[in-house]
Amino acid sequence: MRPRSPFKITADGTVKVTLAAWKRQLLTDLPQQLQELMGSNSPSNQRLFPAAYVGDEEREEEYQRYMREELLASRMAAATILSESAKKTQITTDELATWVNVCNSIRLVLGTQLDVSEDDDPIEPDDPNLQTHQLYWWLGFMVECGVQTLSKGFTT
Amino acid sequence: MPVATPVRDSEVVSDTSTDIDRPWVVLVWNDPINLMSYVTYVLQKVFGFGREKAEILMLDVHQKGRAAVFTGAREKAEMNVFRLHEHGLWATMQQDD
Repeated sequence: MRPRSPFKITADGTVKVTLAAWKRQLLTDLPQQLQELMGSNSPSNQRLFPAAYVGDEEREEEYQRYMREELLASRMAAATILSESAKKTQITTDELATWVNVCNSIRLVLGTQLDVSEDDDPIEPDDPNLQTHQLYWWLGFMVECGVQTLSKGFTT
Repeated sequence: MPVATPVRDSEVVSDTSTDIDRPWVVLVWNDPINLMSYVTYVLQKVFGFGREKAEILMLDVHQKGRAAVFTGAREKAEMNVFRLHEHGLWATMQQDD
């Protein structure tokens, strides 16, 4: 059985957020850690800054020269929005879209660190990365719930 | 003053422009991290696809390993790749052959 969604669309079109204080603290802290990581050359960053042109070094280099900074700035700004709105009980759908975006970015980092694959075995209770797996799973739950709430706003 | 505007032979134009005119294709690749529902949502959000179309493309990504989500001019393809990257999808672009 899945836990209830923390997000509920209200009559005025904003989103009511129901989350325990420690989870809100995580959503405050994790984006800041993500920002620190993005400022480094960590290999865990690779999924956050993928290549656009594969097998065309010249165009890829040019693309990265123009776009990498912009992508980094966009990710940094999004992380700040989540970190600063994590304790609000009422957010806009735009803010929720940013929450989903940043939770997904953190999942990309954790998934890269955990080297997850589609046919992974269930995690054993004595797995040394148990906590990271739990965090990865919880962020997935947040993304899933956010997407469900936001998809109600699409016309078709 | 543009006095020396080159007048190009139409045959020459079509010869030299074949490469430029070949459309660019944006591909989204399967990855083990992004959730299926999230990929559908991003395709709806970035391209304005209806849910059904976005789901068909998402299933192509999931089952066939990749799906072409956009075909067109290079600048637009780059912009779409950027927006997909911004949302954490694994997207690349290449010229149609």
